[in-house]
Amino acid sequence: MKIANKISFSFFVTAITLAVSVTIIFYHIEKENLKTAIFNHLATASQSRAAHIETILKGYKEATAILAAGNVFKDAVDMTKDNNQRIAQANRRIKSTLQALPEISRIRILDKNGIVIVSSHKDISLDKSAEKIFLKGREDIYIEDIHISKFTGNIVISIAAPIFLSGEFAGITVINFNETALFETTTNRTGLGKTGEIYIVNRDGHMITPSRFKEDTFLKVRIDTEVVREAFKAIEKFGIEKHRHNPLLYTNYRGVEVVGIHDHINPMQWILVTEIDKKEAFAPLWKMKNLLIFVAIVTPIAAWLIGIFVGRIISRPIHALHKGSEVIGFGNLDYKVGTNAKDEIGQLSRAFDQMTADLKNTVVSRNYVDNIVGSMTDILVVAAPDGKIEKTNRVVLDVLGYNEQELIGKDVSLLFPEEERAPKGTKLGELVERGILEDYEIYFRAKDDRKVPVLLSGAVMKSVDCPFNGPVKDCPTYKERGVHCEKILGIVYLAKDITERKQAEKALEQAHTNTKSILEKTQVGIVIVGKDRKIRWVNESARRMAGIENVNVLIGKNCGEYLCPADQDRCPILDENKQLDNSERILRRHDGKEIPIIKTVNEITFDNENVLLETFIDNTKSKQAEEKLNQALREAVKSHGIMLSMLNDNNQIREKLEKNLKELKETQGMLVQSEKLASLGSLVSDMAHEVNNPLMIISGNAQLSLMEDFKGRPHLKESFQVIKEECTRAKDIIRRLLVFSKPSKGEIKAVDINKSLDFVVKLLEHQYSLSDIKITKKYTASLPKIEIDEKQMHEVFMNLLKNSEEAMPKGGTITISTSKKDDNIHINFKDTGIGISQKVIKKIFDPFFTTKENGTGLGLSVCYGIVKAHGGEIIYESKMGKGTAAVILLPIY
Amino acid sequence: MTYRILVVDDEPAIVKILETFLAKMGFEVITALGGEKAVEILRSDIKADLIILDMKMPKIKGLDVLQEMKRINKRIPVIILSGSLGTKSYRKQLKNMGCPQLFEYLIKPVDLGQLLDAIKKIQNQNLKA
Repeated sequence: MKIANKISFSFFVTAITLAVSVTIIFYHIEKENLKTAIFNHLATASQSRAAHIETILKGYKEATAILAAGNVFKDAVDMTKDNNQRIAQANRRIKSTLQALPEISRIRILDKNGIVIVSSHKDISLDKSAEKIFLKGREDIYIEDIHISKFTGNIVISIAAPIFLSGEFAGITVINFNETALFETTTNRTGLGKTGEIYIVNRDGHMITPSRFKEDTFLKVRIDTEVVREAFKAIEKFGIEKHRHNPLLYTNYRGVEVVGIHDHINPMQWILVTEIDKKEAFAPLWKMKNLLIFVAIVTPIAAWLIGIFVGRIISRPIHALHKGSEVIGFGNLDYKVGTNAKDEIGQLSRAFDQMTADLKNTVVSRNYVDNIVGSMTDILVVAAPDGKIEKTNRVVLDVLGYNEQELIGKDVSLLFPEEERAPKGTKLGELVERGILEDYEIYFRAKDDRKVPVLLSGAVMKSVDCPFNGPVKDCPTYKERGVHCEKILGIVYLAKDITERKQAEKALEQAHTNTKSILEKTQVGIVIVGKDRKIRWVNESARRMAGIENVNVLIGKNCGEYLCPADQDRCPILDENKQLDNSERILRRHDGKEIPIIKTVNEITFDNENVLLETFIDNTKSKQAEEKLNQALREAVKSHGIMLSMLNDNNQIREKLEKNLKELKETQGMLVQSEKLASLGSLVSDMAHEVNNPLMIISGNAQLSLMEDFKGRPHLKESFQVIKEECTRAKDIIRRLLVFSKPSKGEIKAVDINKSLDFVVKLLEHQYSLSDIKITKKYTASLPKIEIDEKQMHEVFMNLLKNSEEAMPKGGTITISTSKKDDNIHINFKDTGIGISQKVIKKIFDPFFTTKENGTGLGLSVCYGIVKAHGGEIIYESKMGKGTAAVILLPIY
Repeated sequence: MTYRILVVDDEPAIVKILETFLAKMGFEVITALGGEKAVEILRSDIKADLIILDMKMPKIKGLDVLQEMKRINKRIPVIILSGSLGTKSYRKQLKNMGCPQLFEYLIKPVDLGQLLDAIKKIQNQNLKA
């Protein structure tokens, strides 16, 4: 059961037990107390009332006695005295007495014979000699029990007292007292609550005082209740003596349960009964009973609730501790449960935290360790001092083929090959001695007996196990050995599978060998020279060409001495910042022999150093062939009439030759071009003119026919129309053709190129707007004027623009920009047309070359001729799909 | 009197066309097939109001004809039919020659409508002069 429940339950049980027992005890005590109080109260009331009544009666008795003994009354019965006088006197006395004592209702004097001789009322001469009251009263004072007067009908108590004259009985006086005082006393309800009453029962058992609850009870109600019975029994037993007695619980004359007590009123042996309803009397007790029950119920419930609350308060920290211990059990040693509570549980929780902190310092949780081990990618083996494997990790499965479980308990030497099983002198022996082993290459034995190359590290796990209980420096072991009581816990091995690495190493070596042999054996000579001009490396071919077999002879030597004819500070690379790329050079050997080579030098990084890589091939054969060619060229040149005067310097001649050759080729090209042009020109011109006539004939006939009436044959008319139009077109083509063939010698004058361009653009503007072509001008202002044949230049512009237009069938933009660069004016026509492929660009200026279906192919070659004649250049650049740019360069002389 | 036009060309078909056209237009046409014939006619008494002259003819060229005209001082307005090359060179040359008469230039193949316009123009100018 939970503590909280236990606590609440015990509270509850305790409370209930306490409550119940306390209330019961309390109740009983109270009941008794109450009872006693009630009884006392009743007894007191009763007694005092009884006493009071006795006093009253006594008083009455005395009053009677006094009267009887008084002279007046004596005289009244004295026959010797004057009759009238003694009677009058007696009447006077009676009257005044009556006045003085209202409780007397009648006074009578009787003579010795019992005849009433004096009376307050009209009953003189009444003979009472036979009545008890005379008979008894003759002797002594006699109280007659209360009764109803026959005479008046009132309730009276008659008291008779004898009158003695000189010791002789002479008569009695009878005084009737009324019931007032008596009744007053008994009907006084003070202290009797709502149901209490006092009444008197006479010897006969009749009620002689009024009842609180019943009417007209005088001498009519017989009380035969327990209280009365007891009272009579007491009279029998004890006589008139008062004795101790207790109130009783009984049912009274009304049938109600009451608490009542009797008291005796002695002369008459009356019984005074004082009663209170039991209910009323014990009412406080009932109230208390209810309260106690309430308390008896509520208290345990309250206690139970408080118990729960308290229980919770107490058990909460315990819960926390419980939870904490679970968390810590899982390995989280950072979890804190401590509270600031000052009670024992608080202390416990703080102690708990202290414990986990200590644990953390001294012990690593298993989870933590397992995580580390699990994340490793190398083999981990932990062996006990006796060599038995205690722990390993998953990696052993991948690398060696063992399940972790298979190895646990086995001797660690199982993993090592024969030759390495830890005798002294081996690396493993060293491990044990030194306590540590680093990066040792060794083979492990896999499950299938394979040898797996690994990189092994190891460490010996030690702990301090000192039996000496004191500071380290005083430990005898320490003093003796200098080492503090070490205990070897085991050896940790960490092995990295280096199979791949080994393979890589092998492959690398192989590659290295391959490369080396390639480099060595290649026909190309390879030399690596540092920037300090010292040779770093020379391959076989280079050595062969240098005439030195032994590589060691060359390494470290100055390149100028063994290979290069350049003077020390005249190295083209290092001193003159030149580039050598397939350059014809000389290799000058140590013995002075020179070999023609073709050499390339590049800068590379070799062994972390910036060095020069020289590669060269033996150019001897080529050179020889070249020499032959030179010879032939020389002859050829001679026959062309060019004088050669520089036979001494081979290099110079050759270079010049090369240059001349180059120029020749160019000129040839131009000549060919011009010749072509020229011959073409006259040819074309003639042909054009020839064509004119047939055209004229066709056109003319068509026009003539058009003048006829076609009589509802419009298609015929249309046909002739077409003929006419096509002839006009043909005419235009011819015209252009002729422009090409006979370039008109126009005027040369200084022209503002921008204005010239504008002129042409204006001509074509309308046309362009129709074909959705936009012209953008980017002119450089204030360009210097140049001397050109403007008309011809217009032709060129027009041609280029037309070509651009034709390249943009769906419209586009032509950007015309002018600028000055160096000594030239640049005019750039850029369009956004379909572009020209590289293939086509090469032939673009060729005569008769066209990409148009109906083109003559003469436009651009004409332009080329014109521009070239001006000493300028046309350059075409194009990208398929992007556009074309044609740049005209014209020199500003 | 009807306007008389002398048509000079070395191509008979062209001569025929021009002749047909001009006749249709209500002109009187004399033809000369080639420069030689043209010179012959010019030297004669045959009167012409206008000459339509093809420049490119073998042997005796258009220019030669004009030169002859100058020599014999026949100031007849000429409509020159030149090849597609254009008329500039001819204009220059004629200027150099100092021919006084009116000239119009048309390029072959000729639009007959333009030809008619040229003739009318010369007629008007002649009237003014």
